[in-house]
Amino acid sequence: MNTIEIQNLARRFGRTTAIDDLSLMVPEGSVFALLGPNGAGKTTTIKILMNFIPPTSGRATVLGVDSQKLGRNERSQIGYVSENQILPLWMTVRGLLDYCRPFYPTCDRELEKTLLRKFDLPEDRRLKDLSRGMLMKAALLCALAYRPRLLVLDEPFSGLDPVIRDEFVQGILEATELGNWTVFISSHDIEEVERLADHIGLIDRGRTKLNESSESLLTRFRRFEVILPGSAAALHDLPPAWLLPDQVGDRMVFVDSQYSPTATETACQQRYPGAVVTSAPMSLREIFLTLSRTSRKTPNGTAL
Amino acid sequence: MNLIWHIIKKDLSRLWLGIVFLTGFIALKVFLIHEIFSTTEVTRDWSSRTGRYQALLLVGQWILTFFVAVAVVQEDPVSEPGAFWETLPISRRQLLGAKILGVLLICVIPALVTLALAWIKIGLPASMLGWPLASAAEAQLALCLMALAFGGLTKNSGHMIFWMIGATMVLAIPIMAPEALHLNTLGILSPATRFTQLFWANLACIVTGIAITLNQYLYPSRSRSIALLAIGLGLSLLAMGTTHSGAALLPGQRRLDQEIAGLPAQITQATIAKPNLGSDATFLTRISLEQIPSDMMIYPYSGTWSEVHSDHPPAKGNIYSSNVGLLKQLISRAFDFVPSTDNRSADFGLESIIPAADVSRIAGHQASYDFQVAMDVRHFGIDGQSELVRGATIRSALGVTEITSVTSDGTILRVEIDARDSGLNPDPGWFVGIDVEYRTLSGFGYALINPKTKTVLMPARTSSGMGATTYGIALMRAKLQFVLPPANGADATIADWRLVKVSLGNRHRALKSFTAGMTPKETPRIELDPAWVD
Repeated sequence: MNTIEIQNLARRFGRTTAIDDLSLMVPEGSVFALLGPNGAGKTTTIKILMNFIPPTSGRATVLGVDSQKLGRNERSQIGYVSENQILPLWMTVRGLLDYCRPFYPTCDRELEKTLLRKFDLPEDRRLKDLSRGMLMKAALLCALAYRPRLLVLDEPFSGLDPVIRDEFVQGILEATELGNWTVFISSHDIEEVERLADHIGLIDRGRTKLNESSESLLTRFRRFEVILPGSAAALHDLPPAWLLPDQVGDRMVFVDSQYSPTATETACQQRYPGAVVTSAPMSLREIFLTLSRTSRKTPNGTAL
Repeated sequence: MNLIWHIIKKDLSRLWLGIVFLTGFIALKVFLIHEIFSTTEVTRDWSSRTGRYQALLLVGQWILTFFVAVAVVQEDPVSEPGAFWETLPISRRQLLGAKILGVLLICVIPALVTLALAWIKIGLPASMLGWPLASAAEAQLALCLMALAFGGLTKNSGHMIFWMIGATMVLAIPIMAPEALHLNTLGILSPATRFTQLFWANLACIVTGIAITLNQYLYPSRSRSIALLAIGLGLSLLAMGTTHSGAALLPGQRRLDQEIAGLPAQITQATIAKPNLGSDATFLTRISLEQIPSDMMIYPYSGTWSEVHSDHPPAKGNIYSSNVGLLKQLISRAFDFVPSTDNRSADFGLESIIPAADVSRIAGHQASYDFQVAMDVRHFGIDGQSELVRGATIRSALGVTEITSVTSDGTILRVEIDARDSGLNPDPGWFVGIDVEYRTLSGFGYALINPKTKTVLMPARTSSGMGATTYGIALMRAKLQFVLPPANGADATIADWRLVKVSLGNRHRALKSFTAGMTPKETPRIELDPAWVD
């Protein structure tokens, strides 16, 4: 069962295409990170999912319902926190919680108290007097207190300093332990979500580049270094799965996006007899950078 | 419903200061004017000044109402996607319901309650407050509708000001532009046509406001709202270009038109003043409108004339007439001081400037002329009377008048009065209007009568007073001066006089058209009747 399903979604603003033929699946219970550089179409995608704006074409379902038909029942199961969220800044933290509570029949007062303590938020302070990090925490607390089935976080770390960012990530991690919800988080920086995400979606220029679990990604991608017997040019006719190949002297490097323990090394030995082949696992950040760079070189390329 | 109320409570807690300001301002406005009346010397100058203050305070109230209502709307903005309320499980329909109820609870009901309490506090009978409160509610509701429409289109003050220009265009241009755009080509606009124009223009504004509000809340699209605004503006302009009579809309208007059309009219004198060499000439026609019903007060306010079968366009002229004379006639008749068989007439003058070259063509020549005169018509009635003593009061359907002082030096009788009235008075059998120009606005006046000598005295022009009217609530203090006739010029006879309050019902308008033959005469100069006023 997928909490979110996006099929061939497109949204245009005048002549500008924000997203184009986007397809994604977010499994239930996953922490899904939607990654992409600035302007990739992440926020537009979320706005369509939240039914803030309609798509130009295609379809998105959230909690099994067409996003354009999200009713009160579905909305009461979705928590939303955004860097651009316009909160009622004149309210105190307590006032905000009091205001939001009646909208959600499933509101958990105990969880609210627990999170309030964990996030160390001053209840009687007005939101306008909170730092940006505290404000995001307050928004997150509001979103989590009613145990949503889906938590949508749109660039939640933007503008936060490293300490607050860490606290915020910690907060999400702790919160996810308290409830069994699906988290859909968008970011332009993999570092922020590396600790959180178990599924990754990558979009660029409004198109899907990747949509799979972190585990699969970490298994599938591997950095290779090949020490060639001579310094002959080795970068022609490479398999398409070998990304960002580069050669300096007798040293050649590439990233294999379809790694299997024996196949890649065998292929290297066949192409470059006598070469010394070594490989190393990659972090999600390295994978993300590799894919972003590859995407930039082949902007209209298909999903990887 | 619980969620709607929950949102309203949030708006109330956010904007309680707005309610305090609005109600405080309204209460201050009423008490300020009342206090000025109570403590200030009554002079002619004050009358116009208090009128201006009252108008300024009223505009202040409207601006405050509008911006508080906009604040209610923008508390949960619908102009941009991603507002906080959109993340909550609430439908657009519920939000609209919350906002409508919110502006009613914040901007309309407190304002009306404050007005009612303030009016009662300054001495107006509670039974008189229905129509004024309905009028005040109409204004507050119209402002709230505009606030819902334009507050829904905008996200902040800057935006608001931009859109206010649009609002001004929609609301003001259709009212003001027709003259400038020459949309009204009639010499004198028929009241029914004017009513029709305002009716449709107002309706277009209301429908546009509702359409924009519904669009912004239920089917959000700013471009569609702008298109609706443009259509509303276009329809308003179109309405103001209407030339067909809308008498069908006004059940009383047709009857009034027929009544006025049936009155005999005749030219009693037509004179042309000899022009100086090279200057234009003055043409004065004295007109008498006869057999006026005894409960009708008629006074002309504009007119045109043209020669029958002439290619010349109708010439406009100034009207000179005497309301005092008409009113005196009516009062005399009401108290049987004159025989009831007397033909009651309204005599007035129509003066226009004609080219000197036309004098020789017109003067001394018998010809038929078409006249068209726009008439203000009011029902007349005796509203109450009292002895002429300090502290006496006249309690009537319109309100309360108290005599605060009576003095006489034998030739001039001075009566000071303090009145609190409701000028809004439904006029049964006549039409109830829809806007400022045609709303039911009654007037009143005072006179002295002496039943023994069957004499009526109207206030002299040296009388002074000050008054202010908002939503038809009229506060007035006046020093009425009466020139006593020589036979009654002793203090001992003051007791013979009684103060009479007359009511002049809603002002209605009708056009009187007639054809009359006349032979204009050349005279050295035009003589205006001393009783006439411009």
